Order: sequence, then C-alpha cells, then structure tokens
Amino acid sequence: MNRYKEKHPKRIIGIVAAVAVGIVVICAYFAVRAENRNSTVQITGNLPSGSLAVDSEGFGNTILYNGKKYQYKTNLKNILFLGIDKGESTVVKEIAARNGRSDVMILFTLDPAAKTSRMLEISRDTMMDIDVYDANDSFQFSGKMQLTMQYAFSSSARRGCWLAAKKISELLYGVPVDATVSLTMDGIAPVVDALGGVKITVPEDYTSVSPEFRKGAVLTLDGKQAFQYVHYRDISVTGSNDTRMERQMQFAKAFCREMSQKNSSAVIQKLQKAAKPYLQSDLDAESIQKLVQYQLDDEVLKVPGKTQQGASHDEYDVDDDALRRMVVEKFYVPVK
Amino acid sequence: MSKKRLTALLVCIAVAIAGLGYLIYYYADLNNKSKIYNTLRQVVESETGSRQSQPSSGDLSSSPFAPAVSVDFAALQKKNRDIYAWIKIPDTVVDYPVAQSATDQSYYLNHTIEGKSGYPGSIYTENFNKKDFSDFNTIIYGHDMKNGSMFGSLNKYRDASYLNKHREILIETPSGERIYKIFAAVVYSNAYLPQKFDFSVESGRKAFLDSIFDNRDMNSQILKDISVGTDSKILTLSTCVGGQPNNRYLIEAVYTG
Repeated sequence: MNRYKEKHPKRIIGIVAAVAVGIVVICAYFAVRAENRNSTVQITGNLPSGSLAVDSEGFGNTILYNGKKYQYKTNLKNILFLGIDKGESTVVKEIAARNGRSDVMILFTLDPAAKTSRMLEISRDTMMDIDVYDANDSFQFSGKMQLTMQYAFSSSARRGCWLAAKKISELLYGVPVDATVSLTMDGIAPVVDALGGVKITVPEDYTSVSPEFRKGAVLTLDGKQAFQYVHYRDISVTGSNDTRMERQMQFAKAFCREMSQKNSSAVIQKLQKAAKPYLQSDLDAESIQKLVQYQLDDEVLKVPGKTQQGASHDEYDVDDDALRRMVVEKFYVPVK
Repeated sequence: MSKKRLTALLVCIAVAIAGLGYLIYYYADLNNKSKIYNTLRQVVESETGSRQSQPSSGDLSSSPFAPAVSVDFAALQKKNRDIYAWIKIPDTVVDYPVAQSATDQSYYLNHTIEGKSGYPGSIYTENFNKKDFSDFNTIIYGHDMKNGSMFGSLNKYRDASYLNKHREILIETPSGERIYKIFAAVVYSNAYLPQKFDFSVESGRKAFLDSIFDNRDMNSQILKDISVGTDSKILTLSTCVGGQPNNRYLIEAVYTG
C-alpha cells in the first residue's frame, strides 16, 4: 500500500515537470525567434538597409496570381533538348559566336504523378538579352539577340548547354531546367538510322523541302530524309523558322513515339552508341527510362508570341502576359 | 517529494513564466510602439478636415485635380523635426510620415518616429537623398512587418491584378503634393543601390533602369505602359523578403505630376 501511495504523487510531479519543460521549450523557441528578428537588424559598414532581415513572413515558395497563391510543382522534371547547328561562325562586336547555335529548343517536362511527358517548344528567334562571353569564357556584355545565339558564346558543348539552360529558365520566369541534352545536327541521321527510321504523315505540302514530302504522304523517314525534314528552310521568307518548327515538333513527337514502341534496352543502347559522338547530356538513366515509358501529351506547348521581320533576320517577340499565364497553369498548383 | 526534484520543478516553472512573460512583453511593446502612427494620422486628419472624403481612387484621369491632402508639417515637426514628408498609397495601409536623420543613416531603421528603439521602426530615407524629391531616385525604406504594417503590405504587389488596382503613390511635402505611378514591383538583389549605381551620370541611371526592366521572376511585375527614362524622377520603396536575406523587394514608381 505504502509503495503504491508513494508512486502516485511521483507520477504527478513527473507529468507537471514534463508539461513545464514543454512550455519552456515552446517559449524558448518563440523568444529566440523574436530575439533573432531584433538582432538581425545589424548595421554593416555603409550598407544599412541591404542587410536587414526582419519580422517578415516572406514569400515562402509561393507566387500570387489573380489574387490566388500558387506553388511550383516540385515533382516535375524539366529536360531541355537542344539541336545544335554547328554552321558558320559569326562575330558580334569583335567576339566570335563560335560554338554553333541552338536551332531547336524543346523543354520536355516529366510528370511522375501522372506518368506523362509534355513538350514546350521555344523559338530560336526569341529576342532576349544574350550574355556574350569571349574565347576565355569571360563575360563581355549583354545585348538583344536571338536566343539561338546564347549557346554560340561558349567554348564547349557542356558550357553551351549550361548557358542556354540558364537563359531559357530566365525566359520561363525561373522554371528550373533539371537536365540538358544536346545533339549536333549531323547526329540526326545516324540516330534515326539506329532507330530504324521514324514514321510520319506529312501534314502540309513540303515539296519545297523535298519532292516526296507531299501532303498526306505516309513515310518512314530514314536518317538522311529526317535531317532534310527538320533542317531545311528558306531564309528569304519571313517566318520560315515557324513552319520548320512545326516540322521539328511533329518529328520530335514521332521520334518519341517510335522510341516508346521499340522500348527495349537493346534499342536504347544502340541509340546511345550512335548518338555519342554528337551528344552532350547530363541526363540520368532513370529519366531516360521515364522519357521512354511516360505517355507523351498530344498537346505541344509553345511560348506565346509572334514573329516579326527584324533589321537583318526574323525576331520572335514573346507575349509576356500570356507566357506567365501558361507557366502558372502548367508548372504551378494552387496553395490551399 | 525529494528536495532536488522540487527545486528542478520550480526552476522549470520559473523559466516557463519568464519565457511567456517575455513573449507577452515583446508583442505588447510592438503594439505600443506602433500606436504613434495612428496618433499622427489622427493629427493629420483633424488638422486637414476629413481625409477620408478625399478622392483616393488610383485612376488619375477621373480626378484631374490632384487630391490635396495638405499635411500640417508644422504640427508633425513639433513631434519630430526629422519628419519631412508623408507617404500614402490610396486604399492600402501605407499611410505614414517619412523621416530622415541628418546624422545617422540607419537611425530610423531601428527607431520609431517618436524615437523608441526597435520594431516597427520608421518609414525613412537616407541623407544622400535630398528632401525635396528632386533626385533621380529617392529611396524610401520600411520594414516588411508580418502584421502588414509599415511596408508589410507591399508584397501584395507580386500579383499583377493588385498592382493594376493600386498604382498611385502620393507624397506630401511642405511645398505640395507629388503623384507617382508604379511601373515595377521586383524581387531584387540586396545590393545597396546608391553604392552600386552612380545616379549622377546618365549611364548609371540607365544601368539601374535596365536592371529593373530585365527582371524576370514570377514574383516580379513590370508595366511598360508609362514612359520612364534617365531624366525621370523615380521613387523606390525598398523592403526585405523574409527567408531570402540576399533579396529585397522593390516598388518602382515614376513622378507624374
């Protein structure tokens, strides 16, 4: 009996102590937080206002759009594909645009939740502030140029990819580029041949590109034909890149479908081997698998805007409001 | 109960009470220090008649005659002679005196308008800015208070629809009212602007404007429907972004008349 009696008050003391400790911890947390807010108002030299962190809620990871809060879908994986035309080198204010141009730019977005992938096409003619680097990759200046030029101011494929990805992320209001794959144009033929050709239905009359590209013709393009199909354009016509981009996107879609159908590690290995001399990629094996397995959306997104004839070449002017809306709709979710 | 246990328990309770007390003190003190701004607003209101009746719409075209909120600076300066302007963004909580210390650049960062130390501080400028708003860029600082006071409501400008409804900033000075129209609300680096840009030369002013207009961020808004150039008179409202110590949030407005 005595022992039992003794136990009881001990237990109560234990509980009271535990609650008290809990309160201490909670109070300490708030007190430290409140204290931090004050103590972070520090003055560093003559930078009084640059260094203050405050009683501020901050943005978290949210954005505000039409009165609603949204958050970036962090599970998405964005893979940038660049088709590089080594072509002729030009000079901009004495700096050589030397590494070729990214004539094809497609952002693939993998959605692991829905197991789907989606393409966003970005025009090579998109006018942006391009960062110009000299032969030593040191920054010189920025100037309004076509987006295709960003890649050119680099000394390696790896750096060119990084520069292009950075610029495209900027274009898309900070949508991250998680991986980049680039292929030089002379890699198209061997890669397509390794896949055993790509079947397409010619949607418009493209006999100006090659006589067999008649409207409605169902063709299995071999490497050489595929190269013609995605590469040719008549630069004397305003907007010639727009019709070429349509062919490129159609071809990219058909290529992905072909790859999905023939989905076997043997084919993928064969493709990788064929592409290797022309390829720069930081894509991991898991993402390659997903690219092949996920269902590709029929709808191809496009950076909204319109082509205009500039002084020396076509210029694609982005409709910023429409692009922002698209980014919110496709890359963000509402926060409850 | 053993003596040791009892002592431990008492210490715990004492610390808990002290902690709770500090919390209560902190928020009560903050509340108390914020009261001065309501008081000053009442001073302004009672001495200028009803300010509420003044048109406060952001639409300039519907009010060709600027809403004259004649602030009695003599009365305000009796309370603090560093007060030299009043800032108001119609239909928002931004409605504060603007102060500048002649000697201590950061005094009002950490002092209320009646000189009490700590939050919420004051809305203020640094003395590199002239008090007549004739500089290319007059930079006004204020804390991003969690409760929305001071410049704590500016983060709403991340939303284009909010920006379009609240584009006008009114600055009252002893020599009259100045109206500014907002053209940008941007997430910016925490660079100290007067040090980074030489506003005294055209190239410096241009570099600053370019840095604003080149900003592409989902939380930044740029409106190009109003002309802004190196000869404009600009107002920058600068506040911080919680959790992003390397960034600041800037509201950019241009003088329209």
